[in-house]
Amino acid sequence: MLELKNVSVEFISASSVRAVDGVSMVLRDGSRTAIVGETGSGKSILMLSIMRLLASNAAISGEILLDGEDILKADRKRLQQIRGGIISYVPQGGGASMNPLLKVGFQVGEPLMEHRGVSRREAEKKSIGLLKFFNLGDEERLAKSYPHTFSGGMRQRAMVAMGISAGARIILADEPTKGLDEKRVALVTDTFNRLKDETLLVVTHDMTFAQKVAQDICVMYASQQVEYGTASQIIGDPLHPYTRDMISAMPENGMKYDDRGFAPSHEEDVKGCRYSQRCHECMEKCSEMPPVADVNGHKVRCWKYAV
Amino acid sequence: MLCETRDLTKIYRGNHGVPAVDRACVSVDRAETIGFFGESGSGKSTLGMMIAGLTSPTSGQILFKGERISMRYPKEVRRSIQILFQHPETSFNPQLELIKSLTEPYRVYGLPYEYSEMLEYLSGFGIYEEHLYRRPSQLSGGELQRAALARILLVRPELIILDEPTSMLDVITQVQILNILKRYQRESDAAFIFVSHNSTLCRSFCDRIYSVQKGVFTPMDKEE
Ligand SMILES: Nc1ncnc2c1ncn2[C@@H]1O[C@H](COP(=O)(O)OP(=O)(O)OP(=O)(O)O)[C@@H](O)[C@H]1O
Ligand SMILES: Nc1ncnc2c1ncn2[C@@H]1O[C@H](COP(=O)(O)OP(=O)(O)O)[C@@H](O)[C@H]1O
Ligand code: SF4
Ligand SMILES: [Mg+2]
Ligand SMILES: [Mg+2]
Repeated sequence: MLELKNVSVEFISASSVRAVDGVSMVLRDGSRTAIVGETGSGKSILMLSIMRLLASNAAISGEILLDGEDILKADRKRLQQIRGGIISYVPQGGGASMNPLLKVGFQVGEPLMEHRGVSRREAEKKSIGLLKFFNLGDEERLAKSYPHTFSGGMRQRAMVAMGISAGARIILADEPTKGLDEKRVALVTDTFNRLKDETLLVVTHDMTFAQKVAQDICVMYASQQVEYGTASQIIGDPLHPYTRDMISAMPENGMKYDDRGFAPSHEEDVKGCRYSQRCHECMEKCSEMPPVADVNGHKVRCWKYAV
Repeated sequence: MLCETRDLTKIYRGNHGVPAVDRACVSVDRAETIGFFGESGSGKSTLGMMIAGLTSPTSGQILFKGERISMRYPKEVRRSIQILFQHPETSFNPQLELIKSLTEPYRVYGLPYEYSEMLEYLSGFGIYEEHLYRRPSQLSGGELQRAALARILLVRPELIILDEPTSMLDVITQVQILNILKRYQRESDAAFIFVSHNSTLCRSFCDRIYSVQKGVFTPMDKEE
């Protein structure tokens, strides 16, 4: 089980930026959670905190408990075991983070060599199997090619293959379907849904994908978790005004959105609810920070639901 | 026609002569938005890169305002034809603070520069002073894409190639970016080439659509 307790991340520099503000989540073994929300709201930074891959000017607080063990307190050696061996992570823009100097087949098989002591030859053979699993086409040739000869979509699918190759039991993926066409999204969905025992945490902007792979959804806005509940609740009966606006802005729902500008800067001293400048239901009370309300086990940070 | 291609073909080395783009004839007029709709790997980005002058064609021609252009484009053409990449991180030098990249067009094209005016302009894209002194790796994907768009619109291009410009954005920001683009088109009569594999998005944003299959570009009925 992976449990996040009141996790905050602050980047300290000339101006300090609180990129993640008090996020709590419980990822039970075998559970599937999607994080959705505004760009810049802290989704990727939250994932990087779990992997302890943040820049050196970042201060993390709170607890990240892996079966009770606080990852934030783990030493370097332990972190190395955790990364790729227990928790694997497919970064955002996966394509760009592939090593341009190494052949794709080698990179996909690398975690197997590192964590499972599999020989290079065996790993490369397995990687072809994985590429086939994702249906990339002409896999033997692709495994022998360098990343730049792939189209963006193909590179990303290869990265997903790499993330699951060493059999880690918690899989974190940051926008795994970014840039993929419908057919490939369906393939990635299928792959994630084949992983039966693993715990899954994905960041995505694709609500349809989120609904298909996840049981739970966490919605983020301006560094905070604004809504957290089951996927069917969040998509079928969203509570928070931001989530509602998001659902109606989906292409499938006609891209309806009454534009009230972008999210505020981190430096701007927004009093109260961070969505208040853009919220259609803003009330007087909203000039104070809303508490997290519990509506039938569904968490929402909005005055409308506070009792 | 503002821009058209004639039998434009690209065969990448090492691809056994299989064309990534196969004799493409596409055209786009001022104030018009055309779409390239097709699966990943079908050749959409390759055609976009050729029109932008970033990849040389194997054969065929590109005409811009009736004149044939070929690599490398003169400065005025480079200014007129801009591309917004699928992966915003590729739009910026990873070593440079954002401010350096954003002020570059002012220097290159001699635009009048005033710091506070630039801040005002950028806030229309949700980019604030806090972002300017960071390197690309210290910004979110969506912030980078909005910064890339701000930089492109600054030089008032006549043709913009939008290569899956919103695939890294949440759905609300996606609508906002498309609104900014539409507004710019109304003001400037710019032409857009919109590359996407999302049919709903393509239909709602484009006037005409080409379907792309294995490098072949075919005009498509929008209602299909
Ligand atoms: N090293 C850093 N120093 C300061 N601020 C940073 C740094 N890295 C990221 N940030 C800021 O933290 C915020 C959260 O970034 P993050 O990458 O988590 O966003 P995101 O929710 O993943 O967005 P997207 O959907 O666009 O990927 C952003 O405003 C970003 O600019
Ligand atoms: N630099 C390159 N070298 C070799 N082949 C490439 C290169 N870039 C793209 N390709 C190949 O060209 C084809 C078209 O790719 P691309 O234009 O990126 O497709 P799309 O944008 O439609 O997803 C693909 O088969 C891809 O693998
Ligand atoms: S707290 Fe108020 S401003 Fe914030 S989302 Fe709820 S109603 Fe809107
Ligand atoms: Mg992100
Ligand atoms: Mg492409």
